[in-house]
This record gives sequence, structure tokens and C-alpha cells, in this order.
Amino acid sequence: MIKIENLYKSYGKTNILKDVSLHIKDGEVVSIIGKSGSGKTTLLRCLNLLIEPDEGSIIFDGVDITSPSIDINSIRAKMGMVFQSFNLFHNLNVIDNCTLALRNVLKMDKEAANEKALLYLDKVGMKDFAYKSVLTLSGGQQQRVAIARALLMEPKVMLFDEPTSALDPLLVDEVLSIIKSLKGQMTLVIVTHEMRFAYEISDRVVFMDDGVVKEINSPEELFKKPQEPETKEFIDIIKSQTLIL
Amino acid sequence: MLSALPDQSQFFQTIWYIIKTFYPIILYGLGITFLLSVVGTVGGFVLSISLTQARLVNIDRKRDKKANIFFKAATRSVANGYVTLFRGTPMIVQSMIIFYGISALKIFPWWTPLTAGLIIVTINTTAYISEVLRGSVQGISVGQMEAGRSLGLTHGQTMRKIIWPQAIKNSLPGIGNEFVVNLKDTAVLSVISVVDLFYAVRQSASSNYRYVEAFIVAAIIYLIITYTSSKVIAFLEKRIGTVRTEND
Repeated sequence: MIKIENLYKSYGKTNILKDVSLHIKDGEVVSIIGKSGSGKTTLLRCLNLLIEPDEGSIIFDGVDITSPSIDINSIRAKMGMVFQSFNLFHNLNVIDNCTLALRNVLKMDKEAANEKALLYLDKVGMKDFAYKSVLTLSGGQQQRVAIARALLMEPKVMLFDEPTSALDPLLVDEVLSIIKSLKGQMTLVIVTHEMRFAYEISDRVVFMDDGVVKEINSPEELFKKPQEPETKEFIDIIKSQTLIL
Repeated sequence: MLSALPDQSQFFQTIWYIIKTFYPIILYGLGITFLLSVVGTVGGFVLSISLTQARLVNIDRKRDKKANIFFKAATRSVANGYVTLFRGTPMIVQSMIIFYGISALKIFPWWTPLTAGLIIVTINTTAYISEVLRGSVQGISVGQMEAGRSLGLTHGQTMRKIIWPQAIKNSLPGIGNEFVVNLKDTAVLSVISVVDLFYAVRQSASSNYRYVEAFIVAAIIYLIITYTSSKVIAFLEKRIGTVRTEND
């Protein structure tokens, strides 16, 4: 599904990604974990070219999307993305947020787009808010709308960039349960600090450290028997914090 | 026709005399000042959207064709040059060069002080509002553009549907401020004989040499119209700035 080969990205002299390779299978759920600044968000943003990698290739559905001749907009329409800070369009209400791309990218007519949007808003429990301003919603509600907005494009892959990091702890579960419900329906790539969630949902977990993929393994193996010293150190810190709680 | 000019010591009587005697030309001048400010601000706003878009043009060095990159970069330079030129020189100097320069060509029969004034205030305001808009566009969270692009919208679609509507709304206080500035600053157009409020008041005093009293009348009128305009603009901002919650 997605083959990342020898990816490099740097800003000035700071190397963010160093020779990252990762293959993600169709329908797989892959979580990317690691310390802040380890390059996990940069890697995720390279997948839909919100960040342009310096070197390397990303093969999606058999085509190298880093090639200049590729129509990147049609590729992005097949890859949904959910952001840490929701990024709902502030000038549009809930339903218009959901239908904007349907109408302008997929060229659906207004009625069909609205109908479809209401269906998806219902799935995330936000149908009653369809005609509200997005600025009146709580963080959890905004993120649920953002997920519906991305799902409406019927993407093959969903990219989640720390989807619960900006949320009040009490609102985290309502978002995570929606993401869990997507498992099996499409490929999910999730950058997260929610270790229990990564453990429960993932087929494989990627541990990144200092711009390098240090370890890829099943959640069971990676969390319970980490192979690399950096992974072990990271997991130990997470465990000690959980114990304090 | 004229009632007797009050004595030098009769300050308030002189003011009343000026108002009573010269109100037709003063009102005419006031109308022209409003016309210049409204046309300048509205015209400047409309033109500044294209100008600002040219200044903020997105150049994709990897995907754009070479000719396209060159064209975009050239347009951007011209647009930036325009803003630098018109913000960097006084409108009074621009007025002299543009009005007398084009008058000398004798090619436009409609080229009068008033039409010249309308054009000068518009091109000048375009540069200033472009700065306001540029700040607003750049002040919109980068996440809005990223969200649009991640859904498959083009850069242009995201600008039109998402960024510009928010940026324009956020610019309204700045644009309103430009209108108030124009009410006052169009006084410099009297240098090319545009009969605005300033020119009309100066005319009113020219026969009786009561310049202080006459320009106190002008100051009061300017203060009233700028104060009232500020209040109206503040009211409109409040109306537009409210979060709409139902069926908007």
C-alpha cells in the first residue's frame, strides 16, 4: 500500500528524517511513537507531501508520489488527514466544512454532498451540530467533525497526527473510540502519545528516535520486549509515569 | 449679497458668518471629500485583493513549469514594487507628478482635477490596504491551508474558499481605518485644485483673510465626520464579527 524508501528531510543543518524506510500493508494499523522531536510528525506529513522530503521515494498504490509529474491533489484526496489542532475551517459551519472538498474536489452537487455529510456526521455523533459554527464546539466535537470531514472523501488511508494531544483528558476517549471503529475498513497511520491506545489498536508499532526508525514490531513485542536500548528507555519512562499515576 | 463681515475681535460671530455665507461651497467640498474617501477605500480594497494575491503567489519550484515560475516571480516583484513606491512617497508628491504629468500629455479629455484625485487616492489606498490584507492572510493559521490541501483542494481553491474570507473579515478594522485616514488625507489633493473640504474652506477665507476661523470650521467638520465614521465602522465590525450559530 505505502512503501517509504530511504526518506531524508532536513531543515538547514538539522536532519529531521535520516534514511527512513517503512512498508505499510493494505488495511494495516501502524502507530508511530517516540519522543517529541524524533521526526514522527514529519514522517507522517511527508506521506501526503504536506512536507516535501529532500530525498527518497514514497510509493502509494504503485506510484511514486514524490515525482513532480504526479497530480498531488488527487493523491491527497485518497489520504485523509486528521490534525492535532483539528484545523476546521473557521469561516464555515460544520456541514460546509464537511462538504467543501466533496463539492470542489469530487465535484458532487450540493444536495448529494449535504446528504452524505449528514450520514457521516451521524456516525461520529455530530449530526445535531451540522448547522452550528465550528467555533462553538468543544475540542472533542471539533475533532469528531474533522474525522468525518476526512472520512467523507472515502480515503484509502487515514493519517492521524496526534489526534488527541490537544484535548481535555475527559474528551480523549470519544475521539479514540471513533478511530478504533475504523480498524479493518482502511489503512490507518497514527502518530500518538496515547500508549495504551497504540497498544490496543495497532498491528505494528514504529518507534522513532532522532530521525531514525529504531524498531518496528507488534505492540505486544515492542511494549513488553523492546529490542533496542532507546526503545527500552522510552518504554521504561512511559511505564514509570503510569505507575506514578 | 454678503452680510457684513464681523470685526476681528468677534470670534464666534466670524465663525457663524463663514458658515452662513459659504455653506454651499463648504457642503460641496464635504461631498467631494466623502466621494474621494469612499471611492478610494472601496476601489482600493477591490484592487488590493488582486495586488496582495500577486504578492503572496505560491511558487512550487518542484512542480511549476519554468516559464510559470518566472512569470509568478516577476508578478510578485512588480506588485511588491508598487507597494514600496506608493507607501514610500507622499500622496501630495504623487498627486503633482500624476496630475501634471498626464495633463501634459493632453490625451484624456476627462482628465480633470477630480478624476485625477479619485484615481490617485485609489492607487494610494490600494497600496496601504494591501499591507493590511497581507498581514491578515499571513496571520491565518497555517493549519487552515494544510487542512484544505490535505483534502485535495488546490492552493488557489484553499485561498479563495478558506483563507481570503477569513483574512478579509479580520482586515475590516484596518480597512475602516483607511477610510478614516482618507477622510483627512484627501485634503492634500487640494494641491491639484480638487475642490474638497479643505479647498472649499480655503476659498471661503480667501476674500476675507479670516483663515483661523475658517479652518476651525474645517477642523470641526473633519472631527465630526471622522468620529462618526469611526463609530459606524465599529458598529459594523461588531455586527460582522459576531459568531453566527444557526444556519449561517
